[in-house]
Amino acid sequence: MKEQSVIVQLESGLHARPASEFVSAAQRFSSKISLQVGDKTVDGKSILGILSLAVAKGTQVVVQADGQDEEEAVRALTSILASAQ
Amino acid sequence: MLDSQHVLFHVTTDSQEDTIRKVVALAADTGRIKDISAVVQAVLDREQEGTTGFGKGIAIPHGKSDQVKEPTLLFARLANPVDWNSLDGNPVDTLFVILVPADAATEHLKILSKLARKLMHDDFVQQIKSIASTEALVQYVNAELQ
Repeated sequence: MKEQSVIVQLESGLHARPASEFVSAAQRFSSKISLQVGDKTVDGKSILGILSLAVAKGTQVVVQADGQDEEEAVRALTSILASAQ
Repeated sequence: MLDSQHVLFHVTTDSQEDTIRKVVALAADTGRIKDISAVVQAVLDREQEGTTGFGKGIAIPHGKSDQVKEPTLLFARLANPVDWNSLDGNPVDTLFVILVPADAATEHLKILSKLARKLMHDDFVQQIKSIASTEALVQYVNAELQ
């Protein structure tokens, strides 16, 4: 398993378009993807899971991937969270 | 949180915009918003950013506008499903609509996050689609969103 912590830089947090983009990107990987905030962990391929976290800009999250393409998945997904829009 | 005067059953509608307009009009009737068109536009703009049709026939359209006086949660069940460009491609027949004032920073995100958490559970989905009376629905939803 690979994981990386990142501070969310998305202007309006992980909502709306960025949330859908994150989920679509996660679904392209075969690895199991999780997103963790504090003591809550959700399925990174589920839009409802992502929205349930209510991730605002400046929140520290941990992206976890477990599977064959875990390195690439963590890299791609953290870069979405760290981008400004 | 959900008030019985903000529940609509059997809404007849022919489009996403028409659906949003009918629910927003209810919020105008109960004095929660001022200009209907401005609020409808805010909700439509949000849908443009990405659909709130999260699957299972449920959508959570929401909008922020200075025409909204106080945060309001509404519920609508449609007489006929309408296309919502949903993530799973299915039309929508059940909606939670969240309207918040322009200066409400994270209020709607909190409600949205609570709803999202509940909608992951199929029994919640089944209940909100099947409970027949307004009072029972309001009681159920408010207990679940506690």
